[in-house]
Amino acid sequence: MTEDLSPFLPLSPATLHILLALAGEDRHGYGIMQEVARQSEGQYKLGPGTLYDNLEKLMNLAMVEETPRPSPNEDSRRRYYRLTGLGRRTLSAEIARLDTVVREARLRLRVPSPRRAS
Amino acid sequence: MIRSIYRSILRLHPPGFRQQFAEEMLWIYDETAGAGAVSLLTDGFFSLVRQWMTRPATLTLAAAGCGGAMHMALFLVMMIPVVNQPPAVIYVRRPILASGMPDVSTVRFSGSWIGTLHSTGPSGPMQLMLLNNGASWTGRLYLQGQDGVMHGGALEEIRVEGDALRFRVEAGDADLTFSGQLQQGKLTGILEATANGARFAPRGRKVGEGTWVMARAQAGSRAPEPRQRQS
Repeated sequence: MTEDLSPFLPLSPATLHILLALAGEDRHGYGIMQEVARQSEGQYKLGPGTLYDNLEKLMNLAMVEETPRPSPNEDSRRRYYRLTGLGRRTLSAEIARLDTVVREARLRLRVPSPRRAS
Repeated sequence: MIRSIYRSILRLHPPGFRQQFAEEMLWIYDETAGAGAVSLLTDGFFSLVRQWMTRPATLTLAAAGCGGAMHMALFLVMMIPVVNQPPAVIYVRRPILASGMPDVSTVRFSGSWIGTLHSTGPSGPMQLMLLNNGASWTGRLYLQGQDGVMHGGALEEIRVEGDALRFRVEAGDADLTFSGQLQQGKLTGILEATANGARFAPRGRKVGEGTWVMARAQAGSRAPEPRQRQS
C-alpha cells in the first residue's frame, strides 16, 4: 500500500502557511504569525483566531503536535508546536501540486521562469 | 477596555478550545495590540463564530432553534444512536442525511485516531485518519505489518451512520473490512479479512478476523509515524 495524501489536498492558504512556518523549526503561536508575515512579505496576515482554529484542526489530524518549551524560563503562556512526519509529507505533496500548477500557468501565460542567481 | 472585550470573546469560545488556546491568544493580544486592536477583536469574533458553528452540538441546536418543532424533531432523530433507532426513525433519518445537512455523528468521526489491532494476522498499533468533505468521506488507515513497518492504505466504501463506522481497506491478497461503534469517545469494532482472489483462496473467503480499539489522537500525543516499505 502506498501513501495517498490526496484527501488532505489542496490545503487552505492558512494551513499551507502554518505548515510552512513550522517546516524550519518549532515555534510558538506568535512565532508562527510572525513567520507567516515574513514569508509572505506582509501580504498574508494571520490573526490569532484563524491561527488557532487551524492549529486545532491540524493537531486533530496529527499533522502538528505540541512540543515542550525549549527553555523552562519562558513565559508559561507560550506553547510550542512542531510538524509531525505526516504534516511534513502533506506539505511536500502540496508544494509538488502547486509546483505543477505554477509550471502549467507559466506555460500557458508564456511567463519566463525566474532566472537562478549564479 | 478593548482587552477586556477581547478576553470576554475568548471566554465565550467552546470550553475545549478555550482551555487549550485562550491563554496563548491573550498573550498574543498583549504582544500585538498596539498594531491593531480592532483587527484582533474582529479576528477573535470570527473565530468565536467558526468555533461554535463547527461544533456538532451547535449545529444540532441551531437547527432545532431555527425551525421550531420540525427542527427539534430533527435534533432528536440525529441524537438517537443507530442501534436503538426504531425503523420509523431510520426512515426519517436517511433522507435527512442524503440532503447533506450537517450530522452530529459525522463531525464526531473526523480527525485522527490511534489504537491497537488484535487479529489472527498482523496485530499491533494502528492509526486512522478520517476527513469529511461535505457529503463524502475520505481517509487512510495505517497498520503495522509483520515486518514491523507501518503501512498505509486508502479507505474505501466508508459508511458513517449515527455511532456506526464501516470501511474497507485493500491489503495485498485480502480485503480488510472494519466495522465499529463510537462509544464513550472510543472507536471499537471487529475486523474481517476476506480473500480478494489475487492468490490461493477464492474471492470472498474469510481468511482472518480480529478486534480493534482506537481513541482520538490527543494534541501533543505522538502518533505512530507511518513509514513506507523499503524496497
